[in-house]
Amino acid sequence: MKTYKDYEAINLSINGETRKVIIKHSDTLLRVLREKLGLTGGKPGCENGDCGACTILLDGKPVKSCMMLAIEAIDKNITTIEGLSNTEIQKAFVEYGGFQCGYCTSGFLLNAYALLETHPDADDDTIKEWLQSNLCRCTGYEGISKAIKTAQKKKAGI
Amino acid sequence: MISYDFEYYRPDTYEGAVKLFHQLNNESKNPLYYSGGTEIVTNARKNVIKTGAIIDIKAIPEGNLLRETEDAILLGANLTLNEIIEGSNFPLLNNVIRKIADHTVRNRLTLGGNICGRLAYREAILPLLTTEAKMVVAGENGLKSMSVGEIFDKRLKLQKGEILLQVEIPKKDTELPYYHERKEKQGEIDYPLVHVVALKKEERIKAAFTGICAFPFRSPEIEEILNDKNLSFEERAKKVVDKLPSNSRDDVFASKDFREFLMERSIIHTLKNLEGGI
Ligand SMILES: Cc1cc2nc3c(=O)[nH]c(=O)nc-3n(C[C@H](O)[C@H](O)[C@H](O)COP(=O)(O)OP(=O)(O)OC[C@H]3O[C@@H](n4cnc5c(N)ncnc54)[C@H](O)[C@@H]3O)c2cc1C
Ligand code: FES
Ligand code: FES
Repeated sequence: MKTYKDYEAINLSINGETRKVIIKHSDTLLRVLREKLGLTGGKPGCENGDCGACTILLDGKPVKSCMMLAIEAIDKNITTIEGLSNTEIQKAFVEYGGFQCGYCTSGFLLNAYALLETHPDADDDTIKEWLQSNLCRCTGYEGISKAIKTAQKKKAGI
Repeated sequence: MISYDFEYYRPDTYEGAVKLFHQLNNESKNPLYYSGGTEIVTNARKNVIKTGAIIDIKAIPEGNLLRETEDAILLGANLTLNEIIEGSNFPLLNNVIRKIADHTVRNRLTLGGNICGRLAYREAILPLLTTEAKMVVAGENGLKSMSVGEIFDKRLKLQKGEILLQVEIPKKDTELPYYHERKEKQGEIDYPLVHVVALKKEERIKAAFTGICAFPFRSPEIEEILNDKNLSFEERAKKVVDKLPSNSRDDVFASKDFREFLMERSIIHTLKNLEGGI
């Protein structure tokens, strides 16, 4: 049995690096990433599971980091937007205007990246199902949708 | 940010978890079992729940099983909804839980958490209520297995410190014709105003509901009406609404009248699909 009673120094594996951080057990992963590790790419929006601005990847799967405790992420691989660089989806977001204010963008990018890694041949229904987890209040989703389709084709070499 | 501290435990066995629960309870720490954590973290942040200790049950191996035998499908209560959708072979359950929250949340939200949670909807219980599913519960006296009809009445009737460990669904029930209809206020990613879930077994319709009342339910009285072939679909739908086990919900999301209208429509569609005709 693992027992954590007091403030704890834990190691988290983030973007391929081991980061040591002191947490209390009620700290959410989002707050630890932003406020203790300086990884501010994940955004606090609703902190209620609705908006997806805080999305990170946990062992490659998108999760909303506002709704989990940092302590649960021990022994898992965390990817934040700071860990994605020069991917097809990022390039396509720039090319097709997948963002305006940018607040939702890190969440969208990580979710879309995970989708294309998991289902390179995702059909429209699968894309919709995954991307419905994120809200954007600026773009109207058109640019985001085009960016995902383009990145999917580029990855497939089409 | 959660404004208070709590202890965090992660036992490897259900026996250890139950023992720990009672120990922490005796120390007045108001312990909570923690599965996907989506409800606990959100409510702790809002100060709606206060706890001194969290017992994370996700390392208990029996809770993570997903197994199919010749006769049954066994689902651990710690499985996330996406793990079930991707790995289990009960189309009605998969289709119903696919409507809960959104894809990313379903990577954390668990079957046990949905069934034992505080919200009124608890949609994952609906397909189970229409089957002969057994609920495997861990408590101070070890494991017990009870039929879902016996242990679920408005809520899962767990004794203090008990854990829902597994759900066992007879394979024959997972292969029956089914229909379900969920009505939301705006988009698909929303709580249901009404959700009707039905199976047809030996020419009889078995149905469970949520959204309309403050709890999910299956009712023998309502099933008598649903299966009364002397009445038209419309007459049956009206009678069902008259026989609801409590008042229909009436809140900012939808009025009582609108919910009842949706319920009637959904029942007519269910009957058309499972009984046929016009
Ligand atoms: C963004 C969002 C959208 C949602 N949409 C829907 C929806 O459309 N339909 C719907 O039905 N629900 C919906 N919910 C509610 C959700 O299903 C419940 O809040 C559920 O409790 C979350 O499951 P969890 O595994 O995260 O639970 P947790 O937060 O881990 O636990 C919730 C409660 O259940 C108890 N518990 C958990 N597992 C067990 C167990 N195995 N044995 C005994 N007790 C246990 C805990 O002690 C706690 O009291 C939504 C929630 C969120 C955050
Ligand atoms: S901040 Fe996490 S879902 Fe909105
Ligand atoms: S770009 Fe502003 S919220 Fe999406």
